Amino acid sequence: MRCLLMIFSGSGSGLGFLRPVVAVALLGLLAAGGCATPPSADDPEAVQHFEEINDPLEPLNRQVFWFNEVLDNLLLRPLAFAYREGVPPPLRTSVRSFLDNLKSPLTLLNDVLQLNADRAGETLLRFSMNSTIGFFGFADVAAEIGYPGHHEDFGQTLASWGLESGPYVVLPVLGPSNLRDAGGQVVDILVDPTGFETTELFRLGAGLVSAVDRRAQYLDELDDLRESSLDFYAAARSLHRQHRARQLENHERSHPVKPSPLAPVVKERIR
Amino acid sequence: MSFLRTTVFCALVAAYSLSAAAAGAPGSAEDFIRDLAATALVKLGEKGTDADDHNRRFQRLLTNRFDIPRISKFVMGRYWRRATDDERREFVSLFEKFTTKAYANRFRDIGRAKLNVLRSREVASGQEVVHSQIDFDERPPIKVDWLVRSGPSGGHKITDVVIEGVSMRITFRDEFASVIRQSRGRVAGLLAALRKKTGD
Repeated sequence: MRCLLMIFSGSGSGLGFLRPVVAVALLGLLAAGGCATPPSADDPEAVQHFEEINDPLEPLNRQVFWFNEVLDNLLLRPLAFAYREGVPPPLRTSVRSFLDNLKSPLTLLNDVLQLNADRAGETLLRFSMNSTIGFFGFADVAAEIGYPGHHEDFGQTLASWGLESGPYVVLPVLGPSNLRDAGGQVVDILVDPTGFETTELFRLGAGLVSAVDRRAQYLDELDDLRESSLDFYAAARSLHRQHRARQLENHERSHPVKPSPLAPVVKERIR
Repeated sequence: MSFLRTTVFCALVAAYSLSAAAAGAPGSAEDFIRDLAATALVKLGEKGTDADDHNRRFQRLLTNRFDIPRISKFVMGRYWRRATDDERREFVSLFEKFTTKAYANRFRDIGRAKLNVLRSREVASGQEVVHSQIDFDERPPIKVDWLVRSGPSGGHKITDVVIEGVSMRITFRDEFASVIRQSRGRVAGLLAALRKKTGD
């Protein structure tokens, strides 16, 4: 229980509305995994590091991480290898464009929720253009005329509203995340406009191909990192934290110092 | 695995970063990075070199262009102060071998990538960030930032490589801290792990 309390006190004001759901899920998981021992308070540097890493569920996370590793080795990696070796690069690019285009309505929704008119306009333009003259998205025509795509998810939207990430979690199958982004993923799945227009089988297929394609792009890099790292789990955690920070920062950089007008309202509500 | 793809990819493309060259370059930090890329291409892109030779060349570039002692101190973080002089010396030497082993392989097909310096800015006295982009034929370009420190005599040394927002030295620092923590805070535990990994 102690570490459950720690997780919530550590996550700040951010995740109030998620608490009941998450608490139930965590209680079950904690019974299986246990939590990390925080350093003693007389070592301030160690405490600072512990807080920065923000991984109170480390023992459990490690178990899930290795479960994902086994799954990856048995299934995803072989599929990705076959995909890379068997499908010619131009076709892979087209498939990627098609799948990205399917994700644009969700990005548009999040652009709007972030009250980012410029980006919303860009996404709308890209979607209309690529879905029509881009032949259902198989050709990224918009990028060629100077409107490259971007990706926004609900985790990023929550961040733009001022919610902190909460502790690091490794999700089964989906991989590294944090409490805020994991909640965001659930919302993304529930509200994805593409989801209402397509069958479950189609969505499942699209999700699988998308995962295989992404995995195929980093085959050699991941193999090397696995091989060379002393602690693959810790390296992956660090990479994830930095990468996600960059995604959030990118979002801010393209439209500098423009926190969402909703931020104060949302914070107030949660309190 | 989705988050991993980009980040890890970055980490390994960092290999590019580690491709250092022989001569200390005079002039600006931007020129230094340009020269590094050109030298790396010549030294590492050569066809028909065997693995040992390739690794030797890579290590030479690494030690000449990177400030290994300074990076070592950073990645050890707070444990640097706790380490004895002997431990520090051994760490610097093992860290160099470790990075060579981890990255040398990545540069075997360096000829298929092209580095373009975009711009640079001073971040502290004597320290500049050089922003660059690596272009590939088959995959989207990657943004790589180089933290370059200029010495009193005008030479330059790299102290960090940041690939798509992922800093090499921070990643190493976090990983090594985890290893040390698992050996109950003993630096000797990290040294043992490094020795094992580098085959020492």
